[in-house]
Amino acid sequence: MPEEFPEILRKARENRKLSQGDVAERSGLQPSAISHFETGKRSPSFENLKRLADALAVSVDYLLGRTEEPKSSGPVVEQLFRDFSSMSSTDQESFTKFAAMLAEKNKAGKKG
Amino acid sequence: MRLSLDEREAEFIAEQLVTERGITALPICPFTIAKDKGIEVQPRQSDRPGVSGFLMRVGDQFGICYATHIKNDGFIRFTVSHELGHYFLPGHCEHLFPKGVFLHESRSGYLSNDPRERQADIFATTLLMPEALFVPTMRGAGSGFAAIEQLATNCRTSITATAIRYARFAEDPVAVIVSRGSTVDYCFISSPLEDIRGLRPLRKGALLPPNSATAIFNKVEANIAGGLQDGGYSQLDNWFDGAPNHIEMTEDVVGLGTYGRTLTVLCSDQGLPDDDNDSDDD
Repeated sequence: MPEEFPEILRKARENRKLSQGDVAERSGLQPSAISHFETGKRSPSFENLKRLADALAVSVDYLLGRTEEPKSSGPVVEQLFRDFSSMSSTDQESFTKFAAMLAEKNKAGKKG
Repeated sequence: MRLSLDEREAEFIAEQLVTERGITALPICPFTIAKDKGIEVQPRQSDRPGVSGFLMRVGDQFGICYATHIKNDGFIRFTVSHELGHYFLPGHCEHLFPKGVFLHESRSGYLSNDPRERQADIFATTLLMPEALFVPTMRGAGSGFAAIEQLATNCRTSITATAIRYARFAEDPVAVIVSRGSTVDYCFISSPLEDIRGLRPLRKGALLPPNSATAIFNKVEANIAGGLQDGGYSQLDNWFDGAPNHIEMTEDVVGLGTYGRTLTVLCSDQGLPDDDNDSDDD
C-alpha cells in the first residue's frame, strides 16, 4: 500500500466526524480492521478499499493518494493509454473498449 | 500438501467468502460472485503469450477478462476465480496496480513463481472447491483417478485443479505432476508422502522417469493436443529420490490439450508400511 494510505484513511474519517466504529458499521468491516488499516498494520484488499471508499463517500483513487479530489475519478484516459502503449494493436483495440465501458460505469457511479 | 502462511491466508479468505455467501452446494460459480460484486467479466482475444486473464481497474470499477484461447470450461472458471483472488486478497492492490497502471496480466494455473500469483491460484482452488463441501463429496467419490474425474464433474473444475485439491486432502499416497516434454513443470504430493522422511519432492525441471507411462506418452505430441489418456503402474522410488522401495502406484496420464502439458496422477490406496513411514535414518 502507499505509505500515505493510513493517514489518508484517518483524515477522511475524521473529516466526516466518524469514529472507527462508525466506519466499521458503514463498511461492514470489523472495527479492529479499521484500526489496523489506520496504523498501517494491515493492507486492505480491493474489496475492502471499495467498502471504505463507499463508507467515506470518497473514491478508491483518493484513498490510494492518487488524487486530491475526494470524489475524483482520477486521470483515467492518459494513464490507460500509457498502460496500453506496449500492447499489440489487437490487444489495444480489445482492451480500450473494455476500459471505456468501465470508465462509463465509474462515471455513472460517481453521479449516483 | 504443506502451504505457506500466505497460501493459508488465501484459503481462509476464500472459505470465508463461501461461508458469508451461504453457499452450501457444488458447483460454485465465480461469474455469479463477480456479478454480485459489480465486476464485469468478458472473454477477450489477446496476443500475450501465456496470459490466462486480466484484472482491470478504472476508478472504482473492476473488470475481469479471460483469454479466449482457453478452450476448457474448468480452466476458464479457474482463471476468473484467480482474478477474483486478486480482488479479495489483502495487499494485492499496490503490487498489481502501481501508480499509473490499470491492467494486470495473470498467468494462472500454478506456473508462476510470483507469490501473489500463487496466492491467487490457491484462492481460486479453494473458492471452487471449499473444504466443507469438497471433502464430503470426495469421501463419496471413491479413490484414485476415477474419483478425481468424478469430482471435476461435480465441481465443474479442470482435471488438474481438481487433482491438486484431491492431493491436499488425500489420506493415501498421491502425487500430482504436470510435465512438458521430458521434464516436470510442478508437482504436489499428499501428506502421507510428505511425511516420508528423506523423500525429495520433484522440482521444476526434474526429469521424468525415462520408462514411465508419462515419459512415453509425452513423446507423441498428438497425445497431448488431443487430450488422450493412458495409464500404467510405477514404483514410487522411480519418481522420488528417497522414497521407500516396492511401493506400487497407479499412474494415470492425461494430455491437457491447448494447455500443452500433461497431467500425471500417481495413487496408491494401500497405504505405506509403518517401517517406511517412520524410518530412522539418523
